[in-house]
Amino acid sequence: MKSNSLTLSQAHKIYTGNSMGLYTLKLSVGGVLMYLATLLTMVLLPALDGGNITTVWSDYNASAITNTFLTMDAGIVLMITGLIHYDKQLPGGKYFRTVNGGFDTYRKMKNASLIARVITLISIMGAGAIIDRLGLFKLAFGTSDVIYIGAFLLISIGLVNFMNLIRNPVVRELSTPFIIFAAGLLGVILPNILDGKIYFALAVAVIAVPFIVISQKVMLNDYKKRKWSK
Amino acid sequence: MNNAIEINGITKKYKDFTLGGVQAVVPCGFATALIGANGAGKTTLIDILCGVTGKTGGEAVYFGDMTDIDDDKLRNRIGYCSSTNFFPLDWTLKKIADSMELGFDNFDRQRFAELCRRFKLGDPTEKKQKKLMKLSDGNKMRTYLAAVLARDTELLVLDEPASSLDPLARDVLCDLFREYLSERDGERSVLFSTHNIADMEYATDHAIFMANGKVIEQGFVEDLKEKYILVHGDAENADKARPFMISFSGGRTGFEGIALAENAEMLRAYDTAVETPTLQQLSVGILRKAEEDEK
Repeated sequence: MKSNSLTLSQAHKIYTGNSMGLYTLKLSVGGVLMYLATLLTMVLLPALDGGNITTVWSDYNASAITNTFLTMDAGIVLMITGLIHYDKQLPGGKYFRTVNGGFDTYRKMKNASLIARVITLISIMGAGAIIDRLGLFKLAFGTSDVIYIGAFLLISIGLVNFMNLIRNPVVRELSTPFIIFAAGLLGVILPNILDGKIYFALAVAVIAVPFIVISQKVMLNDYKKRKWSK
Repeated sequence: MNNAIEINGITKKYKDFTLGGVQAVVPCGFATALIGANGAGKTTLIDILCGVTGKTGGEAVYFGDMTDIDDDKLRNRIGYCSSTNFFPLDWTLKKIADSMELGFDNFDRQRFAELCRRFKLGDPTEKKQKKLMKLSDGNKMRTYLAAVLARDTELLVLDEPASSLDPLARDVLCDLFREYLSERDGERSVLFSTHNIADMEYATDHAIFMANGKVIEQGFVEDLKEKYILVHGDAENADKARPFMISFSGGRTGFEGIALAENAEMLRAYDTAVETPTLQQLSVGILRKAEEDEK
C-alpha cells in the first residue's frame, strides 16, 4: 500500500490492528457500557446492603451524582486512549518507524485516533441524553448537562494533547487525570450556576474545535522533533 | 563488487555514547555479521540504517544510489527486525498480517502463512490465536522472522536474531539466510548483529567488528582468516611471542592469541603452533585488542 494513498483508517489499522471504524465502535460501546455499569452498581450496592432500590434510584435521579458518573466514565475513556504512546522503546515502536510513510503514517494514525475519541465522546454523551430522556437516570438539567459535559470534555481532549508536551512521563501521567476531571467538573458545576442555559456550553464547544486542531498540530510537531527519530 | 550499503562516516551523539564516524560496507549478495561487545553501537548503527533512529552526521548509500531512508521505495527494499518487542505484545499473527499488508507494498500473506506453518507458529487465518505476549522469546523471534521474510525485499537487516533462539533454531536461521540469498543469487543481502558468533559462523560471509562506537575491522571472513592466525605456545615462550601478537591470553602452562599472518614465521621460531582461526576465535582476539587499546 503506497503511503500517500493510505487513509486515516488504514494508518490506524497499521498501528493498532483495528480500523478507525471498529476502534470507534469498540470505544463507544465500551464507554456506554461503563456508564451503565457505574449507574447500576451505584444503585445495586445500597440495595444489597438492605436499602430500597426505588429510594436510592430516586435519590440519584436528577442529581449531580449522575452527571459526575457520566463525566468520569467518558473522561476515563478519553484519558486512557489519549495517553497511548508509540515510542521507539515500547513494543512495536521500532516496527512503526519502518512502515510506509514513516511519520506521515503516524500523523494519520493520531488524527484517526482523535476522530475516534471525539465520536466516542459524542456517543457516550448521546447515550447519557437517551437514558435521561427515557427517564431511567435523569440528569439535573437534562440535555443541557450533556452538552456542558461534552463541551468541557472536548476541551480536555485538547488539554491532553498539550499534556503530551510534558517531558517527564511520571508528571505527565499523574497530572493528566486531574486536568481531565477538572475540565469535566466545570461541565458538572456550570449548568447549576448558569441555570442550565446552554449558550455558554455551545460557545465552549465552538472554541474546542480549533483548540483541538491546534493542540493536535503542536503535539505532532513536538513529537516529530523530539522523539520520532531521536 | 556492488554494495547493498555503503556507510560513509555515520555518527550519532548521545549524552553517554558516541557512534563515531562509521565507515563500512555491506556487500551485495552476501551475509554480513555485525560483531561487537554489548554497548559497541551495533543496534544504534542498525537502527540508523533502517530509519528507526536519526543520525547526527554522515551518510549511507543503499543499492548504489539511494540515500533517503524515508523514501518508501527504499523502505520497501529493506526488511528490518529488532531483537525484542518488534510488534505490540497484544498482537496475534492475524493482526501482524493485517498491519504489514497495509504498511508495506510487498507483504505476501500467503507466504507469511507458509512461514508460520514452517516455524510451527500456527495458522494466521485461524480464529483463535495466541497473543505474542503468551509466546516464548524464541517463538516471538520466529514470528518476527516469518513477518519480515514474508516481504519480497532485497536486504534483510536483523538485530540479534539468534539471541533468543535455541541451537537448533539458530541452525534453521542460518539455512534461512542461505535460502534468502540464493533465491535471487547476488541480488539479495543480509546484515545481522550477533553475539552467537560460533553458531552463526556458517551463515557469515562478511564481518564488521565494532567496539566503542567505531568499526575496528571488516572484511570477508575468508580474507580475515588469511590476514590473522591463531597462535598457541608453551608458557616459557609467552614473553617472546607476546610482542608479535594482537591479543594474548596465557596461564601457567601455555598461551593463545591472535596475530597477524605476516608474523607467522617469526612466531613459529618460538616453537608455537599456528592455525587458521575460527570466526569466533578471530572475534575474541580482535575485540580483546580493542578493549586493551581503550584502556
